[in-house]
Amino acid sequence: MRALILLACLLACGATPAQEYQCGQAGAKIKPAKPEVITLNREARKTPAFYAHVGRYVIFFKPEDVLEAARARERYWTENNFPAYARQQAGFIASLSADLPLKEHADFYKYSLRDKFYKPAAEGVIDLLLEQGRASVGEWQHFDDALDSDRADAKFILRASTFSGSEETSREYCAADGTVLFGALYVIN
Amino acid sequence: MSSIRLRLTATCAGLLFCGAAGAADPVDYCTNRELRVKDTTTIQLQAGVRDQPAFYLREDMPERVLFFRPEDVLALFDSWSVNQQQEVRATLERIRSDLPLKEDTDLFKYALRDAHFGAIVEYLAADLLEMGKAAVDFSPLHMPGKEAVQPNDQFDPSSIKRVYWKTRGGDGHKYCDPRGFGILTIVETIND
Repeated sequence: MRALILLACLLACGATPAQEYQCGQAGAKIKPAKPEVITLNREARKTPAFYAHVGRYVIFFKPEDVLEAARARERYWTENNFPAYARQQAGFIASLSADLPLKEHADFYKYSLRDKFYKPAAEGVIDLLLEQGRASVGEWQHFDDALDSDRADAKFILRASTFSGSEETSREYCAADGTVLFGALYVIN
Repeated sequence: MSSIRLRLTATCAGLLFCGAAGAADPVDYCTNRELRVKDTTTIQLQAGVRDQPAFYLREDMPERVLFFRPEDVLALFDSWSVNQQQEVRATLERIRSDLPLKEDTDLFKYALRDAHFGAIVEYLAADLLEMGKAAVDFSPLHMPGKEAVQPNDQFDPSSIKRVYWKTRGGDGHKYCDPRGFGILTIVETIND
């Protein structure tokens, strides 16, 4: 059974084609489809949030969005008859919940240092929220940059997928300049 | 050829460093030849860095996490912060107020409020590595529970190598495990 490790919604949620942008690893054997633009809600940074630090970028997620996405993943595992994964996901949710409400921005990858399952669990949440545009993305050097607010808090990101036939085999999310923020792969179960 | 010295401890400007770091572009691992040259040094890492909640710095591709004792981070950053600007002192006070740590804590979080700190945090890490005041965890895959199983900790180094690198774009140092896997790369000079 081929299952996307990370996602519930394969149709782009509010995404539109972007002709002029590039997204994906340069020189990749399989060329990704044209990237689509995902508009960000830019809400996450306004209050203490989970963050993922990726090079010069930081991606922020609202804790309630994270919890909702983590629960969606748990339902996915349950409904698709993966009870072991559902149990691990429940453990991940318990760890998240124990830290809420956040008092300050918190590293979302810290959970991956506690349990080997928690990294893919966190990445599943990241994928789901990026796809839905429920994130704030900015370059940390520009967080106080009043002259270039788009670099501090991007309006959109890009998503590019590769396909085998009609099946999506991988996807990447990029900043407007093409920098890869996050990638996801299919797995075969 | 003119060059810009970047290793200015706490005085280097964040935007300069980050905008320019790619110019030198050293490879992020150490070759066998680099490991063997005479100015490559071996640094013994201190044991017990993770016995108490520690600061960590996460690096990707390959994934590795560097851990530091909070008191070592504080002491070093304090020594760098003398006569520094207000925001540096504020970050120092923020770190101090977070101690003792309740859990392992991302050192990068201070960069979210102080971009200058983001620009120097890897230099801070490099100096701690230099002193052996660090633990390096490659591809952490830890299991939960009282009887913690840490399946890949056998690959974590007890000593590291410091290698000088130089390209047309600049120079600096790389910190690698004895097999050559990259831990941290620091740019010290950028050539115009």
